[in-house]
Amino acid sequence: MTTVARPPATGESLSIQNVVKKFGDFTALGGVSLEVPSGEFFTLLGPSGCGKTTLLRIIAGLEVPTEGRVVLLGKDITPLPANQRPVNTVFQSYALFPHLSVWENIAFGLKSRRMDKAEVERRVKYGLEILQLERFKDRLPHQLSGGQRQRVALARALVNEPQVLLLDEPMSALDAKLRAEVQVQLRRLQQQLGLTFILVTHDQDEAMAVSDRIALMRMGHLEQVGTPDEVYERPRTRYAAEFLGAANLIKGLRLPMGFEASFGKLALNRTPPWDEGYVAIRPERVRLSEVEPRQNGLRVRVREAVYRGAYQEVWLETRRARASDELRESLSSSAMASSSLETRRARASDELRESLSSSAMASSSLEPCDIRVRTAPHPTFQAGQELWAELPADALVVLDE
Amino acid sequence: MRLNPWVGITAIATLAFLYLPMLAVAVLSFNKTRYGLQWSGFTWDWYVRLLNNPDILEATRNTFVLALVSTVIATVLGTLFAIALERYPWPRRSQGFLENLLYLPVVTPDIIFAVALVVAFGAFRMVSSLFEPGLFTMILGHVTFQIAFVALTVRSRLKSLGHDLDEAARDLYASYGYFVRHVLLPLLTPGIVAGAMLAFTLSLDDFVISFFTSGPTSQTLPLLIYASVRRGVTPEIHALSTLIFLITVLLVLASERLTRR
Repeated sequence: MTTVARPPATGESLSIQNVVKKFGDFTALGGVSLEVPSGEFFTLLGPSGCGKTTLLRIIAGLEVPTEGRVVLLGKDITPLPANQRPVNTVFQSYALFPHLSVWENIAFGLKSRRMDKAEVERRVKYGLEILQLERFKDRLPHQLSGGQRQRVALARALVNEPQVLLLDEPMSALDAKLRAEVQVQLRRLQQQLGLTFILVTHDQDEAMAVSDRIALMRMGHLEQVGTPDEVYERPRTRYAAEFLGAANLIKGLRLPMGFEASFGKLALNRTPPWDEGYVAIRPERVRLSEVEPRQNGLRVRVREAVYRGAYQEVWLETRRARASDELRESLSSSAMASSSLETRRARASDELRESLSSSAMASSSLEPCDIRVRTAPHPTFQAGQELWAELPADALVVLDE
Repeated sequence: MRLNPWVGITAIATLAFLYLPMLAVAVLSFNKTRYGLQWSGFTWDWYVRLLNNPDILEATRNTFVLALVSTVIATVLGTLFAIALERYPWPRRSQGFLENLLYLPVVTPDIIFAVALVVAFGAFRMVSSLFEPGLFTMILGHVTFQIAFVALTVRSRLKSLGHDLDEAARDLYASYGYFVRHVLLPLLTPGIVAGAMLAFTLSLDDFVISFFTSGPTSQTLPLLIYASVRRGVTPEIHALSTLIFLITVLLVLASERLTRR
């Protein structure tokens, strides 16, 4: 096991200050500011087109920002071209030089700076070693597998001892199993070297697995920045709640230290800042039981339970609060009629969430909503079963928007 | 699924149609008979005579000087043109326009080109006697049509390389010159060589442009063959044609191999 002390935090290694990037009429980045301390594994997470790759390219010097500054270790590097920045990139396509051997590829950034021969030898050897590429040093890129190519790309960047290593979706070309493996290796490598890594990805699992901190991006701005558990446990917006994993979004009206949803009143740890808004709860935080819990209990019926091996996913049908009990009869019968269709859609969880939230958007009245629960695989639940669900106050997150 | 046998037969017939005349010329070049088509025995005689004919040797020399010089010039210019076209950040509209300009010489009839050159050289002649018809004007003429072929070949190679490697090289501290020397040129070489070979073959075989731009002392092989055939086809011409055809085939095959890689 490697136990390498991380370098002492020397404050902000990289500072992005109010960066704006426009391509013609299109604004790719609308004023982004970020501080990344040295030695941190920082991830830019977001869907395609959110500006994460553009931001990475601006840090690399491959794009020039329309406005704003990039400051590295106190030095403004905004005007420096890519080939003069102490920053290296692992490209999504790896961009290995197809006519050069693995050894030559790794040596490229050293030779281009006319580094002395012995030093080139030493560093390439080191690069081959830490990424276990010694056996392949004479091969050409097309003679390597995807995973090996990715390691060459990493070694080629790392031997330059960059202040910041940029990784542009480096795992998107690998299959799922290898990807999980590489994530662990990448994290280990970063800790071993104590370097600042900035990763771009659209894969939230990957972001959670490797990062010290995550910046969730949306349409050219930062939606939320924080440690993986902060962003996951305390999403600030509906977008953040939905992008990172599954979430139940419950619409409701403000009450002191609580809110009122379609199915009744729930206690919260704080008073919501809005009059009408959303509260989120992760599927795994909902507790199911046969007996009524002390607080925030709901009487629910299982609409559907899907066994997934390691866990089971349960969709619970909630009921309207008592005042409108008569109305419920007609509502639930119409819900039953569409339930087989709904069942099929439920499997594509994203679609379900979308349809739920869009239907919630459509009308301002509080519609009864399904609650999705992730729970232990045993005992298995049956459709139609009635039971209690507890939405603990500390698991309910009040969303700002 | 069974393919109709006629498909194969048609293909073979087409090939025969294409190559039988050439084959006939090759066979006749070994025929002892001076006139007519009767076979009266095998001989290398006509080939030997070729080598002893000063006109033919002179024309051969001219042809190769013309082809070599024009190819070198066209290859350099064509390659630079392709790189500029592909890598310089042209506005989208002018990029399309430039591409069309590049294709135009390939499809323009040679005769149009040749006449245009005659007019242009006529005008230049008023400025400098350099533009008197001769090897120099022929070289210029050949370069004008070769550039397009070189540029097209190099450009398709450039397109397949993409922009990633440029960026990777820049990211790895390479200056533009270092990138060109260590990445771009080595990767473009097959395209450049293929383009050059194509240009060389085209120059070797060119008749129309040569005919309009040549002077009294710059006879090339195609021109010589044309002139001799008017006096009657001789076995020497068969032998000469066969040799030129062989060289062309070899060059095309070599260029084909290089582009495929």
